[in-house]
Amino acid sequence: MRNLISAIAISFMALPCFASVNIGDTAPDFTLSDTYGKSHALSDFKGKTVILEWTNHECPFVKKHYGSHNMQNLQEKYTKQDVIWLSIISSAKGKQGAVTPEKANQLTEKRKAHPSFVLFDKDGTTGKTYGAKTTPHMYIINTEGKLIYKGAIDSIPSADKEDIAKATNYIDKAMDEYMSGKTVSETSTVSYGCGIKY
Amino acid sequence: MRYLLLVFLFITPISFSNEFAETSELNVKLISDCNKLPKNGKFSTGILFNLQPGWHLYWINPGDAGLAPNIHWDLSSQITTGSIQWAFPHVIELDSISNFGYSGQLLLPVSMQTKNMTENKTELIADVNWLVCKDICIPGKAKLAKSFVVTDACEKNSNANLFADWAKKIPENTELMDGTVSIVDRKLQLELFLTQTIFQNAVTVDIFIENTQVVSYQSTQSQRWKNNWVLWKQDLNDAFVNLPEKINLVIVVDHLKSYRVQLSTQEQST
Repeated sequence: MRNLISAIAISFMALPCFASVNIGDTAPDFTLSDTYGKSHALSDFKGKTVILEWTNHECPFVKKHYGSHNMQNLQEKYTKQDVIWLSIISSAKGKQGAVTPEKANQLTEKRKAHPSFVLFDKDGTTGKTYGAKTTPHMYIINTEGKLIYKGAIDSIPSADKEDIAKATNYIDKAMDEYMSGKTVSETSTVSYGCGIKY
Repeated sequence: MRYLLLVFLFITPISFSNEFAETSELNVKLISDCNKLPKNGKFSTGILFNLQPGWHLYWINPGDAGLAPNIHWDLSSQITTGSIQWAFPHVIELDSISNFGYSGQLLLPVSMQTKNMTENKTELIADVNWLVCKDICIPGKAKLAKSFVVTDACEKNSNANLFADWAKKIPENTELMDGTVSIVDRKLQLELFLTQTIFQNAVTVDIFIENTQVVSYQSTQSQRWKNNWVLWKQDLNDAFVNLPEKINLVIVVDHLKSYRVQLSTQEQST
């Protein structure tokens, strides 16, 4: 009898649901407030390439990429080319990485960061809609509003700054290919980092 | 104040005395099952972590976030070393994120072998890196070193019992009689027929995949089993592109006994 029960046993492990966006799909629109209280919708940037960066300034993996200026260099390089760079904070109130607008502005200034805007996603809706799980977690949306890259910032999952030079930078790779009219060759990678503090 | 504490944690130097290191979150020690190492022979060495309550370390596939510990050995050229034998993990759910790892204690055992050791003494040196997390994550590293006298045979010590206890948590390799992998409606489906009847009388069966970028850790998984057969389905990972050539599975039966299976995906219908 026990064998029979085992034979028909079905085990389910249900966890809080994340949506995800497939490569080539239209990136879901969202409206979030920036650090000056101004609302921005993704649709406001129609016709422009948009890079989304999920961030948490206290996460060691984020520190790796800001402490080395890797992230700032990417931000500066692409915003100078009329790309919109949105740094998104999905940390819930009271959790690691949740900051006031003033603190977020101080961080931008102190770290010499160059995002177009820093946006707050306090209820985590936008992060979960995109399936963002780690900080950093990166997405690239093309001028037609389609998702062309999602995943890690680079190819070496570590918290060590010295690995940056040895890694393939997936953002650079995808943007170089896209901006030169080629098909993005690596569209989905596994992001690495701290879990987002939803 | 909390931020000040965090800064303090990051800059606190790890205190260590050769084989031992300690942080606020854990202590870590290089151990061996021999007091003296054999000139020619096998022995076990390991990195033993003891974690403070609430903190965890990660499995080889950490899940949605995190990073597994790693070890770089600096050894005499007459000592060869195997890879880390990972104990089966448990699921750690935090902030809607699903990870695989360990709480409490973790031993990372490594098999070593000496061959024609000529020195009377030798030192095992391990550069260990880890990421330990609770509601926050803190990376750590330590250079651990322990000197040993080399004699004709291993002189076992009390750590041998600890290695034996952890050996029970290391998945036992088991063979497939037959196995198929298929992808249906963005779900990975595995059907395995094993040479051993490991599912006989099993009440719970958990399957972990070592490969990253294959399945979604957030999604519902379903499985059916009987005797030596299991059918398992789970949604594909968001970053899934292609099946790897080989899928390495860890099957845990009744949270107690674990098995490792390698499934070739070549010539499979997808």
